[in-house]
Amino acid sequence: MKIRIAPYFIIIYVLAFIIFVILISYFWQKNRKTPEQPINFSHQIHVSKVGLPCTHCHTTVEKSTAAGIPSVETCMTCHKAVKKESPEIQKLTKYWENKQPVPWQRVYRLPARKYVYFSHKRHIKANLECVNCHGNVEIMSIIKRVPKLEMGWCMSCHKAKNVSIDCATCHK
Amino acid sequence: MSFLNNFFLPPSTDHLHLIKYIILLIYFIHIPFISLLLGGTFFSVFFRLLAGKDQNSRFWQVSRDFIETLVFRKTAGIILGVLPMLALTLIEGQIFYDADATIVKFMMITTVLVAISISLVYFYQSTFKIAEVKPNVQLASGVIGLFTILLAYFVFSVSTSLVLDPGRWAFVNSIWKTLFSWNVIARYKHFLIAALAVSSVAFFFFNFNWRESKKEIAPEYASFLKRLSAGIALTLTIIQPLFLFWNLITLPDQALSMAVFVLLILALFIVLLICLTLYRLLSENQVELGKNVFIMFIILLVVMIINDHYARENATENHTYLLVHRAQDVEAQIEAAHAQLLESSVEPDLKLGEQVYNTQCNACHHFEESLVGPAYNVVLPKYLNRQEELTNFIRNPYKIDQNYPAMPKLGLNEKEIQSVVAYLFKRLEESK
Repeated sequence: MKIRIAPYFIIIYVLAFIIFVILISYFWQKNRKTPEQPINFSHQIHVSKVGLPCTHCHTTVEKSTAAGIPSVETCMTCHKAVKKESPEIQKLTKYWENKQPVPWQRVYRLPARKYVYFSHKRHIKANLECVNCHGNVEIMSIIKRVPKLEMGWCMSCHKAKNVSIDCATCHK
Repeated sequence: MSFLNNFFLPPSTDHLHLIKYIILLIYFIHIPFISLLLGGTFFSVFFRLLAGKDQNSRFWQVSRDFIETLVFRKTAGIILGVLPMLALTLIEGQIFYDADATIVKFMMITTVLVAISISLVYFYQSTFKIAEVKPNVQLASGVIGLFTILLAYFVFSVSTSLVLDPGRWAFVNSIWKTLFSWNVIARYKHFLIAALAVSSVAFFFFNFNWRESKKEIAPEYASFLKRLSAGIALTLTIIQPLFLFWNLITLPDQALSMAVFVLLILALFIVLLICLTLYRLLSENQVELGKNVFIMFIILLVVMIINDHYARENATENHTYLLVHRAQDVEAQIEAAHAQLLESSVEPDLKLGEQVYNTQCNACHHFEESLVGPAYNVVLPKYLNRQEELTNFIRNPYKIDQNYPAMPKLGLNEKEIQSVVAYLFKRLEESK
């Protein structure tokens, strides 16, 4: 009987591609993994359900370069009373009682932050909405980084809005 | 392109959700049809050129068979070809009405080109057997028709590729970079190869599985056609994984999700099955397998379209949200205008008021004790004769007492506000 090798070749060839795709998806998933937070905080509940505006907690976004991660005190103004029985809130209360900050893991960080000057205040003044860069926080129970924060991404918007694209604007 | 923005109305929220499925439906209708049109014309013109002027040549016959099998009647061209494209252009116009008119511009060009190419292809098809039309004129219509379709779907690929990369919308300054990005090339080539593969499979199916009994083909010619179409199908299907893979690695990061990967792996498995079945069909001459291959190709097409749909949904998630946001703003404005008109006539509904109280207010305010906000028994009495002030405060809260955090805006509608105020005063009355 003649042994046909062509079908085996086809199987190996297509399987190789399938393995490639699986590998890519694995690394994609791994790279994308958002940092694990000490408390399972949900933006979705606070924004969509409770209806808090971003500035309720990120108080310095209009005044400073950084938007500011809220202090434990800010959380506790409400959570001294609200949802005290939830295990996540109990974790928060523990930090409060121990007088320790919550070790939140940063999600947004400029890749070359040493060389880039970025100010939230200026961007808010230019009437940019939080959602333009931070995505649909309202539906994120776990916060995800939406844009890659690469220079090309900044440039695209600066060009479109006709604002300075001089190097010294951001690289001070 | 501000005139385009004026032309399209911003879509409402319900409309936006519906639109997605309409797009999917249009793809299901349009892509298979246009694949067959493209493949039929391509193979027909190709074999027609091989035949030269010799009308008795076998290739002449093949050329004619291809165009007659794969290009349907004229009405189909309008219903499945031009109309869906036109609908898609209008829909994309609504979705991207101020994000980037370039996407819509490309779609418009595609629609015009599709209409032209379909007319040319029908002319080419219908004049095949008419001796009065000069063969050269007839061939020219086919060649120009083919190039117009190729151009149309190149422009279409540019548009669909642009949709997947919102980061690029803002700066489509360089037309060349937009036209020849890696993703455009990958998508376009994949579309071409898939369209040709689907056409050769459909050709085999329609000639040997579908109307087998109705049409009589000389056995020798039939076996030639079988080997030819199945051979082309196998070759083109074998290179599919390459293009599927190329398309995947050129997809922008934002378009990716687990669903995209899973569907792609599924597509690759189907490609594997198709290849093996086609190989068996060729080596063992099992004509009836043509049916299986045809069905598997339809499944593959569906999987690929859904895959593309997911990529599109992922990429435009943020944009869709902005649209919904904007639509809600517009709707809220209309509602506010209405509310102002009706303010005096809005009937407070105590049941609704209680509902609002339990879901929204109760978390921070109780009657007896102060929690996040002050106790109602303390702060409500001062509003007793100034109800209007309380409704205004709920509409637009501000910080009053330094001892408590500012109350957030709750996004209640006019009726809910009136109802909750009525409910609060009723409770206050009862507690006295």
